[in-house]
Amino acid sequence: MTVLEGLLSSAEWQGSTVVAGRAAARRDVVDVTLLLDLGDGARSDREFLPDRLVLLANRSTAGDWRLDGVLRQVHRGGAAGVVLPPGSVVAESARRIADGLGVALVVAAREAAELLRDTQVLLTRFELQAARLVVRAQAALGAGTFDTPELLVQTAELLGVPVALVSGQYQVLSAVEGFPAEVPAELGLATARRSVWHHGADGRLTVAAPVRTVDGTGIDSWLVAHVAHADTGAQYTSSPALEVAAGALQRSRAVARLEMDRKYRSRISLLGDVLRTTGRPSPLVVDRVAAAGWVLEGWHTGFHFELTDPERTDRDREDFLHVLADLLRDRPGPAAFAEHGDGVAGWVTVETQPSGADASRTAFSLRGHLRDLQRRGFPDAVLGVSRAAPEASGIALAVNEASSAAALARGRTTTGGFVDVGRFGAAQLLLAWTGADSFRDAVRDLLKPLLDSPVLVRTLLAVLDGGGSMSEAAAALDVHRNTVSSRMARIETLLGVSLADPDTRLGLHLACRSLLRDGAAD
Amino acid sequence: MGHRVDAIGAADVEALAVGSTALGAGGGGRTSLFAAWLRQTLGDGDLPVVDVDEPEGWMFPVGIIGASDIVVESLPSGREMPRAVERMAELTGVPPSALMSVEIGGQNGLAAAIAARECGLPLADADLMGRALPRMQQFSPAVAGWRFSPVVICTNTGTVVVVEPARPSDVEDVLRGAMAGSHGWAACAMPPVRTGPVDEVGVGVITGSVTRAVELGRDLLAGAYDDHRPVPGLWEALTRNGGRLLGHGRVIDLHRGLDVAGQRHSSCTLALDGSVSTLRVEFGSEFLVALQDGEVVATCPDVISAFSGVDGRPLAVDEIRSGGLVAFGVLPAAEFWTRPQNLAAVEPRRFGFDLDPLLLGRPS
Repeated sequence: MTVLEGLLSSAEWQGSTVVAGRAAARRDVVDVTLLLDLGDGARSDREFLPDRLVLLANRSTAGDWRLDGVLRQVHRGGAAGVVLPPGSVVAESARRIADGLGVALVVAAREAAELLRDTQVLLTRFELQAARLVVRAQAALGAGTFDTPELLVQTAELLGVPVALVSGQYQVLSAVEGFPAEVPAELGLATARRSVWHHGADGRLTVAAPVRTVDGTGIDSWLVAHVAHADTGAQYTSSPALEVAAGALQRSRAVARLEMDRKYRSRISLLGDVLRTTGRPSPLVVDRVAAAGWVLEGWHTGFHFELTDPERTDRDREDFLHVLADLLRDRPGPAAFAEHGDGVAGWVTVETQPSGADASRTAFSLRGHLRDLQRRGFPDAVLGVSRAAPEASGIALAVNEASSAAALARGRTTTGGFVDVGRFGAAQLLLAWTGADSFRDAVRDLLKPLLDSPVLVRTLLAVLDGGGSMSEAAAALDVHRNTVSSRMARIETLLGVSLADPDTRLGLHLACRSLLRDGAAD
Repeated sequence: MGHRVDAIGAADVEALAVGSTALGAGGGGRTSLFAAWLRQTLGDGDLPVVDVDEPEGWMFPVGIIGASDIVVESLPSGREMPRAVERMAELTGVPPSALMSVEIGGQNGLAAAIAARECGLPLADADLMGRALPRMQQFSPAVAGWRFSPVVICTNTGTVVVVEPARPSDVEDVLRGAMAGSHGWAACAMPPVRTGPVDEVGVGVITGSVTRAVELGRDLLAGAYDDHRPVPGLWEALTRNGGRLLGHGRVIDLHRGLDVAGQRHSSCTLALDGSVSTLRVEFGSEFLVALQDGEVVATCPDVISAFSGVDGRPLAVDEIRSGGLVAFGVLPAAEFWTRPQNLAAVEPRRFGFDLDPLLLGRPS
C-alpha cells in the first residue's frame, strides 16, 4: 500500500502526468486493476474496488464519452484513479469530472501491461518492508515491560529515526535526542483515533501512533516518529512498527498498575492484622511487615486521609490512592499505609519520642500532602493526624486516633479539612466533636423549649459552669440568687429534666456551650 | 394535452415551425425556408387539420428526404410533392383524402402542410416518426411491419422514381443513387394509410403529431423569447409538455466526427451555470444521449433538444458553437416508441451507444 503521489514519483512511473483530479494524489493505493477498454468500464454494473488504481489497456479516441462513465464508476467504487495509455488526449468533460469527483486521471508513459506488473511488485515491496519492521519490533518490544525513556530509545533504534512521546495537545512529554521541538498540528491528534501522518512542506514526514489508556477506553498520548527525508511509502512501513511500540508502552503501564494494585490489596489485610495486635506481634506478622517495608518499633504518628464527597466513584478512589502513594513514597523515612475504611490510613515512624516541635513538623508535612491532594483533583480530601504512640501496640492507637480525627475533619471545612490531635488535646478534641453538624442538630432538639429565651440558656450555663452553685451563678449573672432559683425551676419544667442527675448536667452543659459558641445564646 | 388543433392559419406557422424544430432533436433541417413558403401558400386562408379517423379514406404520407439543408441551395419548384402524391395515387389506385407528414421533426413538419395546401387537401394530425430520425427504415409503418412499398420520389427536375423495396432497409440505398443527380434531395410519398379508429391506426402511425408540435411551439414562444433570459420560460414550456430542462451553460468542448467503437458521432460539453457539473450530449444528425458528470440522464428515443441560451430558439446540431450559451431539454418520446417491440429500432444501441435507453417517466 502506498499513496498515489508516492507511487507516481517512483522510477517505474517516471514520465507519467496527472492531467486532472490532482486532489486525489494523497489517496491510498493498495492494488492495480487492468481495464481492457472503456466500453467494459462504463457499464453501470461494472464495479471497481476501493483504493485501486485502474489501468486502461487499449487506447481510445480523445473525447470518448465512455471515459466520463468510467470515471463515475471508479468514483462510486472508491478507487483512486484511472491511468490512460501513453499519448492519450483527454477531453474537457473528462477533466472536469475527474476534478469534481476527486478521481485522479493520469496519462502514463508506459504501456499498461508493463506498468501493471511493475506496480504490483512495488506495492508488495512496501508491505514486505513494513512486515520486516513489525517482526523486529515484536522481537524487541513484544514481551516484558519498559519505562518510557527505555521504550523511546529502543523504538528510535528500530526505526532509525528520532522518536518522542507526545500529549494530545502536542506537548513533547519525553523524547530521544534529535527529535524536533515542535510537532505539526496538522497531524490532528485531538480527533484522531488511529495512526496518522503528515508530510511537511519540506518533505519531512511525521508519523504518530496512539498509546491507549491502561483500560483501553481512550488515548493517553502518542508515539511520534520523525522521518527527515521521507521516501515513498515511509509512513506505511513505519506505522505498524510504531503501533507495536505503542502497544508495548500500554502493556508496561498496565502491568505496573496491576502490580501496584496487588501490592495494595495485600497491604490492606496486613494493616488489619497490625491494628489487631495487642502486646507483641506474632512472628508471622513481623515477617510480613518487614517484607512490606513497614516499621513496628519506634514512635508512630498515625494519619488517615479520606474523600468526603459522596458522589465519588471507585475509579476516583483508585486514582486518589495512586496519587497519595506517589506523595508518600517521596517522603524521607518510612511511611506505611493501606486502604482503611473509607480512606487511606498509615503511620510514619521516628526512633525516639518526638518533641513538640518534631510532632509539629511531622503534622505540617502531612498537611502538605493534603494540600497537594486538594490541588490535584481532590478538593474534598480531609486528613486526621494522631499523637505519637510507641511500639507495635501503639500503631493501633495512633491509627484509630487519626481515623477519629479524620471523621472530625469532615465537619471542619473552615480549617481546610485538617485535624491534628496533637494540637488539640483530648478535652478539646471532645469539645471539637460538639462542632459537628450532627451534634448541633441534637443540641437544638434538646434545648428546643429554651431557644426563645436566651436569658434562660445563659442562666443554665452559668449554673453548670459554677458546678451547680446558684450563688456563683447569681454573682456571674449579676442578679439575686432567688432569681436564679426561680429561673432554674422554670428550666426544669420546660425541659422536663432533673438537674440532680449528673448525666443530664453533663449533656446540658455541652449543649449550652455548643449553642453559645454558635451565637444562638446572644 | 390540450384540445386538438383543427386548422393552421398564417398566424400558427411560427408555432408549428418552432415546435417542429424542437421535436427535430437538433435534426430534420432548418425550418425557416419552409415556414416562409407555408405562410405564402396559406395567404389569408386556413389549412384544415383532421384526425386519423376522418374523413373516411386514405392518408398519404409525404415529405422531403435526403440532405435537408441542400434544399436551400436548390430550391423546390413547388410541384415535387404534389407530383409524388399523384403518382402514388395512380400506383395504389386510391385517392388521397388527406396528406400526412412523414416526419414531424424539422422541415417535414411543415412540408406536408405545404403539400396539403397545394393539393387542396386537409392535413392529418399524425406522422411517421414523432420526431426527427435519420433512417427511412425508422418510419413507424416499417417498424410496425406494415406495407412499405411502393415508395415514390420526385426530384426538383421532375424525375419520378418508384421503388418497390423488398425490405425497408433497402429503400434508402436505392434512393441515394437516384437523388445524387438531383442535388441530394427529393420529395417522397410513402404508401397510403387507411383512416380508422385511433388505436388501430396508431399501431403503425404516430397520432396527434401536429397538435403536439403546434402546442409545444406556442409554449416555447410564450415563455422563451421574452428577454435575454430564456431559461425560466424554457423550463416552464418543457415542463408543460411533459419534459424537463437538463441544464444550461457555456459550451466548453466540441468534437465533430469522433470515431468511438466504430461509430462516427459528435459530442459537445457544457459547463453548467452555477455548478461544477458538466453536461455532455452525444449527437449524430440528432442529439442522442445526454450525460451529466458521466452519468446518463437522457437518451433517444426521448427528444433531446438544444435551445439558444440567448433567445431560447431551438437549435440544430450544427448550430452548436464552442463558447456559445446553450440550454438542453428533453421531451418524452411518442408513445409509439415506448412500446417494447418498437423501442429496439430507436434505442441508443441502434446508434452505436452501448447503453440502455433512459426515458422520461419510464426508467429503462
